[in-house]
Amino acid sequence: MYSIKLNQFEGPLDLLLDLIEKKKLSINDLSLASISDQYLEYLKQLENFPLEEVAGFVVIASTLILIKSKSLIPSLELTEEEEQSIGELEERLRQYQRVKELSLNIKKSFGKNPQFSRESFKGMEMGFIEPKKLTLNFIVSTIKEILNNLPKIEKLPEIAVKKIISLEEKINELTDRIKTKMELSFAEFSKSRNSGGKELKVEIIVSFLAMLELVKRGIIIVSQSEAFDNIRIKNKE
Amino acid sequence: MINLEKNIEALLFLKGESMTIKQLSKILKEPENNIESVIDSLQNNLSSRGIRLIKKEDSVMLTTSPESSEFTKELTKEEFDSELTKASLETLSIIAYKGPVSRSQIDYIRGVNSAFTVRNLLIRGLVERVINPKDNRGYFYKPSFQLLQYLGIQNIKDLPEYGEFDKKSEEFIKNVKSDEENINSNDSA
Repeated sequence: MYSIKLNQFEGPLDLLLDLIEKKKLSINDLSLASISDQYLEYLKQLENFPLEEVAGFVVIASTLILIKSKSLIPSLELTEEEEQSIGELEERLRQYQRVKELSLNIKKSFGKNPQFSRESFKGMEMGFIEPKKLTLNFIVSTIKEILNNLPKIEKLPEIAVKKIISLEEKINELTDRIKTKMELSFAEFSKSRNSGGKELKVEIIVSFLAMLELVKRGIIIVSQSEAFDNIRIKNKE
Repeated sequence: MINLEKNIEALLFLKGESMTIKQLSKILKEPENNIESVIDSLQNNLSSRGIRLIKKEDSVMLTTSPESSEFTKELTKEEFDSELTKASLETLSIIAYKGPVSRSQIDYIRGVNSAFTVRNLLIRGLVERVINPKDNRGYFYKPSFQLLQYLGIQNIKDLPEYGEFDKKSEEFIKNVKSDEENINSNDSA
């Protein structure tokens, strides 16, 4: 529209309101009278405007001239129609001013926090969308990376489970041996048959416990002449 | 009623776009006034959720919440052109606060021919055009769902200071003759 291109005003009301607001006046006949000269001055620049656009400016100009005349000649009698057009102009200005105020609300929130409907996704075509960065090298390096990141199987250290002499066995063994022999030394007894006569710590401990058990049961009597000396085991009977 | 609310929510979710109270009433086999009151309750219950119910006259639609817009914008990759020209902003405001209005009413308030601007808003889907029920040669303009979505509001009445156009101005606008409004005007977008 021409009025947008050639000047900053949207129309006669916009211009009028701007003139009033610049002077910080409220909308009434006095303020309209006071800005009428400026309005007419502005109108002179509109000579080259298309007639259609200028018409609106001229209609309002005539009302302004009427208001101005009335303010200069208070005795001027206005017809009912004239009074009405003055009132209407004031009312239109108030309306327009209000719209401008309200439009700030729209401006503030317009497009700021939009709400989407699922329609936005409607009609989205399914199809092949060429991946931009996909090259053979990229695939290979990705596969390698994946393989490197696979969880490793953890090997737990294996250990051969050795035969452990049970206390029960040792008790039975000692009972048997003491039945056939009246007396034997602890050193003899604790020498393992399983380990080819070698003294094993486990064997010694288990043997000692077996011996203590039999003492408790009253089957054998043990004696030791001094500390760390060989222990002698005797059948109690 | 709880079930009705659930069912309405499910239908609106499935549909994805707007539905009228009438459509819902037909599917759910419930009277329209029941649907309407349950919709109010659903709208209220959704008001703190990521999904909102927006309502425009007799149509309702589910949308994402305006608070999530930072992320929903990212997903939809939709650019929101929040720039409106001075003329568009004024015209849109009149339609938002005053709609349904005729173009001659808009012209009268703005004091300038708004045909071009109104057509622009129609093309952008921000306003809707309906035939004037009293005069089928003329049109009325009113806010669209998309306008509500753009503004991040659930009802047009949620606009700040809505209804502030007092009764007096309402009467004033009504008095504007609408006979200028006709189908032959350059407002045939």
